[in-house]
Amino acid sequence: MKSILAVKNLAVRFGDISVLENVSFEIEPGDFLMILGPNGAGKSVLLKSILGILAYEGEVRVFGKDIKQARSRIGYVPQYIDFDRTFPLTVREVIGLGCGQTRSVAGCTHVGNMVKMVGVEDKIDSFFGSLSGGQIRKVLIARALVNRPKLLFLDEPLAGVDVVGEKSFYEMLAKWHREFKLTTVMVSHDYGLVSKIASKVLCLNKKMTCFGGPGSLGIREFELTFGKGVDLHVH
Amino acid sequence: MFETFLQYPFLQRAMLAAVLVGLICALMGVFVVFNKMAFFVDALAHSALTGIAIGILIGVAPFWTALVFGVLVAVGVVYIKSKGKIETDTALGLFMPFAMALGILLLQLKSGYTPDLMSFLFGSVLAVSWIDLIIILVIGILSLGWLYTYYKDLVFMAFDRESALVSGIKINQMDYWLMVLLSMVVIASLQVAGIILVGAMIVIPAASAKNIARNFREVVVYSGIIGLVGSVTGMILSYVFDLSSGAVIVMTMVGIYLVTFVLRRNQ
Repeated sequence: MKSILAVKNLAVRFGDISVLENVSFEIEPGDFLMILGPNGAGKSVLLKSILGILAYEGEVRVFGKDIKQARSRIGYVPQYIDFDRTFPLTVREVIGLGCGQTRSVAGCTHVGNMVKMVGVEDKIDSFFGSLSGGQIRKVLIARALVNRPKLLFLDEPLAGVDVVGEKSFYEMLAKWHREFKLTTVMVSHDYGLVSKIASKVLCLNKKMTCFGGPGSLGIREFELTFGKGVDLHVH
Repeated sequence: MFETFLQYPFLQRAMLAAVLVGLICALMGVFVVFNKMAFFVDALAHSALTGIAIGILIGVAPFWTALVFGVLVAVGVVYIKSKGKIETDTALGLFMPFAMALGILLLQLKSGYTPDLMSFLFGSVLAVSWIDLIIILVIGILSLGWLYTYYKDLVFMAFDRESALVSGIKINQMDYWLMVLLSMVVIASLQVAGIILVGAMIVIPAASAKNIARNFREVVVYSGIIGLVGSVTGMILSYVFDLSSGAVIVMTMVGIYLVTFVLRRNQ
C-alpha cells in the first residue's frame, strides 16, 4: 500500500545542538501512529518538522508530495496556543477558521455539528478565551477536523483535560478512526495508551528511535527507551 | 456653523481627508492591535521624516520619497523579524530615533530651507489638496480591498500563527503585504495626523472596539465607526476651538476609548 506519510533521514538542529537525528518511518492510510518518548525527547520537534513549522534536514513526503502541496488535506491540534485571552473570537469563529476563506469551504462540516461532536455545544457563542483548558483542547480538535482532513496530527492533545474528558476523547478518537478511516499521528508521553489505540508506535529519545506495531514492542522496550535509552530500531 | 464649515473648499477637503483617513486607519488598526504591531506603526511613521527630508533635498515631492522609504522600511522590518537574528523590539527601538535624527539632519542640509517641523509632526490637514485626497482614496481602496479579501486568513494569523501556517496560509508573504500596505496607509495619513499622532489614529479605534465587541466582526465594525466618529467630531471641535486638527482628533478618540474602557466586556 502507498504510504500516506514518509519520513527519511530526518534531522533537526538548533544552532550547534542536535535535537533529532536519523528518523525514518512510513505510515499507511488508516494507521494510528503514536509518537512516544520522555519530556525533551524531540516528539513535538518531529511533529513540527513534518508540518513544516521547523526547518529540518532529510525528506518528508505527505500523500507523496511536499507538505506545502498537502496542507488542505491535513488537520493539526497544537500542544498549546499562546493566545491573548481577550481576543474576541467566539467558539463558532475559532472552529470556522479551520475552513479558511481563500480556500475551498465546500468540504467543511457545519460548525454546529462539530461542537456537538466534541461536546461543547453550549459554548458555541462564548468567548474562546473564557473556556477552561479542557474545553479549549476540544475546540482546537473541532477546528482541526472541520475541514474533513485525511491525516490528523495531534500534539499531546489531552494536556489539561480531566479523566472523564480523557476517556470520552479516546472513545471519540477511536470512533473517527474507525468510521472515517482517519489516519492519525499523535504525540504523547503516555505509553499506556499504545495497546488501546495505536496501530504503529514510534519511540524517540533524541538520537534513538524505535518503530513498529504495538504487538512487536513490549512494555520492557518502552521502559528501556524511557528509562535507560536503549537503542531500538524495529521495522 | 456647518454652513461656514462647508462653504470653504479647503475645509471640505480637510473633512473628506479626515473621514477617509479615520476609516482606513481604524480598519487597518484592527490587525495592528491583534498582531501587537503598534510599535511597528510608530517605526514606520518615524521613518517618514527621513523619507520627507530626502524628497526635499533632491527636489521630489516629499510624499513619494516618504512612501518609497516607508515601503523599504516595512520590507526590512519583516525581513529582520522573519530571520529572528535580532530582537525585533530592540531593532525598532534603535531604528526609530535613528530615522528621526537622520531626517532632521538631512533637512538641515538644505540651505535656506526652514522646515515646518510642527506640520510634519502633528499634521496639516487644512493643506490637503484634491490630488492628496485621490492618493488617500487609492491607497485606502488597495489596503481595505486586501483586508477584505484575506480577512479570515488575517484573523487566523493574528490568533494562532502556527496553526495558520499548517492550514496553508502563506504567513510570511502575508506579513510582507500587511506591512507594505500599512506603511502606505501611514504615509498617506501623515497630512491629517502627522508623524507623532498617526499611530494613535490606527491603534485607538481598534483598542476601543475590542473593549465592547462580542465577536471579531463587531471589532471591525465598531473600530470603523469609532474611527469615523472620532475624526469627524475632532475636525468640528478643532474648527470651533481653533486648535490643531490632528491633536483634537486623537484627544476625541482617547475620550471614546475611556468610555469603552468603562463599558468593557472582558473584565
